[in-house]
Amino acid sequence: MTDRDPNDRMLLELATSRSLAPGTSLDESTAELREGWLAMGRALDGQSANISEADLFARLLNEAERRVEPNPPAHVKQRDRLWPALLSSALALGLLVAVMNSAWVGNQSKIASLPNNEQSAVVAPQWTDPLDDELDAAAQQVSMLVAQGTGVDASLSNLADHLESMSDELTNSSL
Amino acid sequence: MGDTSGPQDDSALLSRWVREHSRAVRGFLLGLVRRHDVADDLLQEVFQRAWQARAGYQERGRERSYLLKIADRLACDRSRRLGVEVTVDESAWELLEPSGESQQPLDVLADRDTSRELAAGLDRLTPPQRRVLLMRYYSDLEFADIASQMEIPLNTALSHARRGLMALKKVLTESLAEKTT
Repeated sequence: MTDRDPNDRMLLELATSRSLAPGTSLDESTAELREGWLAMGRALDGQSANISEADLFARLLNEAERRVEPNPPAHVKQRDRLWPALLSSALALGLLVAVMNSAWVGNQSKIASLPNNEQSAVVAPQWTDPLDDELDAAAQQVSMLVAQGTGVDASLSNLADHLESMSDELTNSSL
Repeated sequence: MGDTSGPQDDSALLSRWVREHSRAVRGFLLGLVRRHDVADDLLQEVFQRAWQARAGYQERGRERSYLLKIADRLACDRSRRLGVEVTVDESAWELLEPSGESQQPLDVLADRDTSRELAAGLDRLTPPQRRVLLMRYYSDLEFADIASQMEIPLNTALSHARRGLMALKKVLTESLAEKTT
């Protein structure tokens, strides 16, 4: 019986079948293979007798429950929502400072280009609003928080509120 | 398998899987890895993986072969990790997988009616021979399906089966000869 023999598969499946139909006769080589097969079956059946299906089922259920991902706590969700708002506010604040700075530099260059007698007429910069100091302080706070990488929910919340109020104030009055 | 609709149905289905197939899958694993503790660990992993992937399982009515295929992959992966994928002799197995006190190696079969020689016969098979014969024994798939599942040519699968059976027959013959003398 060679591997290429078309009967090889059929004979092997006959030799390794669970049961033979009554009256089935096997040739000598197939009968020998079947003896080996039955011997293997006895060995396997003997070794696999002790298994607790209930224990296995319980372990599987426990594992399935353990793998269920718990919902994040409420304060984590709130913190996750706070960060985008804080970063947006910081970005808006940075843009605002940049615009004010460029406007002030442009004004200074115009003054410098005037004759000396006209420069004396300009006695003070255009932006003397005390809100500038608050903006600078807020920008420093944002930089510190971002640089430290720490997040204290309360501080961030207060800072965000502060920035929003300043932004509203600027929008409604100064700008 | 993908026709479940709720947690209770899922639980009932998992219970049925365990009830109908766990012995066969464990026997298959034990025949491959030959250690009860490892077989138990792999058995749990087989059902976990099968359960996680049950939505994509389409071969209805062939649950056992589905589970055995996963078991075969896990056992092969483990062998690769241990670096003993293809063939090792007895001494190599003992070195790579020494038996601990809590383990129940196949030697316990010597205390039963099932002869020690039969267990030793399983050990004489090469891993590919064991894979083919164990898959045939526990899944009852035809050799063409087994070859496909193991991703080997059909003739190779047939050759492994035939040589494995001849080795087992030889063990039996030797055992009988020893008892008669």
